[in-house]
Amino acid sequence: MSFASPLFLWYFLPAVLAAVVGAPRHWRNGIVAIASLAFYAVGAGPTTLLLLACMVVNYVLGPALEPDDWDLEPKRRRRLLVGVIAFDVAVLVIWKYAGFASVQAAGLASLTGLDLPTISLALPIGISFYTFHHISYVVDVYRGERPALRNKASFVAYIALFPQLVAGPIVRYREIADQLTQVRSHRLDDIAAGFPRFALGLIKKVVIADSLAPLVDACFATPTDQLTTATAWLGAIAYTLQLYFDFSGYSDMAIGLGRMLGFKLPENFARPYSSASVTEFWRRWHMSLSRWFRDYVYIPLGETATVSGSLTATCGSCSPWSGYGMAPTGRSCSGGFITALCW
Amino acid sequence: MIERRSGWGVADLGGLTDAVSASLTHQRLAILLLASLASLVFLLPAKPITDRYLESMRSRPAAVLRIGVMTVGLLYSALLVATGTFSPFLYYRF
Repeated sequence: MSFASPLFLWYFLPAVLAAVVGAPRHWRNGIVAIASLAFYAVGAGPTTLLLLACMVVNYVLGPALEPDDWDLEPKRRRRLLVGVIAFDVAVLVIWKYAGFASVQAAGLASLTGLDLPTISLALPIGISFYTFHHISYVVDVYRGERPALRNKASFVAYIALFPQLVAGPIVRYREIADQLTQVRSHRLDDIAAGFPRFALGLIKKVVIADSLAPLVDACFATPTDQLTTATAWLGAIAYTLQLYFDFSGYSDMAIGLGRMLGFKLPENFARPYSSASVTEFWRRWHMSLSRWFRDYVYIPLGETATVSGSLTATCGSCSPWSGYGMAPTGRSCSGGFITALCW
Repeated sequence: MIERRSGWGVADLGGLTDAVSASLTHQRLAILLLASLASLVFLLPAKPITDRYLESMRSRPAAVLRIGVMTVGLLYSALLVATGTFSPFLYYRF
């Protein structure tokens, strides 16, 4: 279900807001959890089971990762953390890359005359985003930054919160843990505060990004031998604008929706096209992703590796997340980061 | 193949392919120009220019203008959504 679809705007959102406003305030997380799973199931279908399975594993093992005053078995906790993260990453890798890997393997095998079958797995919507949330949850609990969630509704509300479930912003557990346990009572105020942001995002998406989409498609569909300078420039400019207004529009809608439900989600954009360097651009574009990689990949790596090594590894792990076609982008970004640092 | 849109008073768009020319309607051209103008704010250096510009937009007339634009934009968006013109978000693929 898309935020910009009639089903969401005319039926789903009003129903959820009415339920949140009308029900007792301590029901909020439960309402949000049910609504989020319904929202996801409408778009993802059977792959909702994968989300549920990942949530069960992380929810059940989360409390065992908490440090306590005695902490007699830190090695056991660490092994458990590594195991849970390995599970989360394995799910992401299998569903994202198994098809690609099997096609490559079949291609190689065909050179030797073998006929290998290929795998085709439907990519679950938002799998990257809920994987990031799971990892953030277990790592923050392991570090003792926030306690594990014992309430199932609160846990589901964090992992599957529908405003940010399918495309972010990525919310680190420690950023929202207190909001999950402390339910505010100013619900109409929250709706009044969140609606303008949601409306701004809707305008960005529907009026600007969607209007430019057919133009971008026409430019990018032009065969290479017919491509002219004007078409190439028009395509590049239109796509630059479409991408920014589409994604920042989504983020505005997500932040506004989150606020209407009583959650303050982190910002995701800060005028990225005014950046003066690659480093600054990634601090301003999809900021929640950059912060996630900084906190959970770059800083831990920095304890044992050099700065350039950490940067290369961070970009190297970030680009596969975007898809195998983005590997060159990751390499160019890490090159840009290192060049900017040396400048 | 080449279509000159003299009625809009813009530079000759010669060089566009037929398919691209056909998709560049007046409405899309207007939105492309408006979005480009709006993005000029983003393209300018942040510290000396953009911040100051955005700060000046916090006055009462600017707020009234912003509310007006938002209202019109929201109604137009609702109209577009009702006609079923929305497309999936680009970042859904991740």
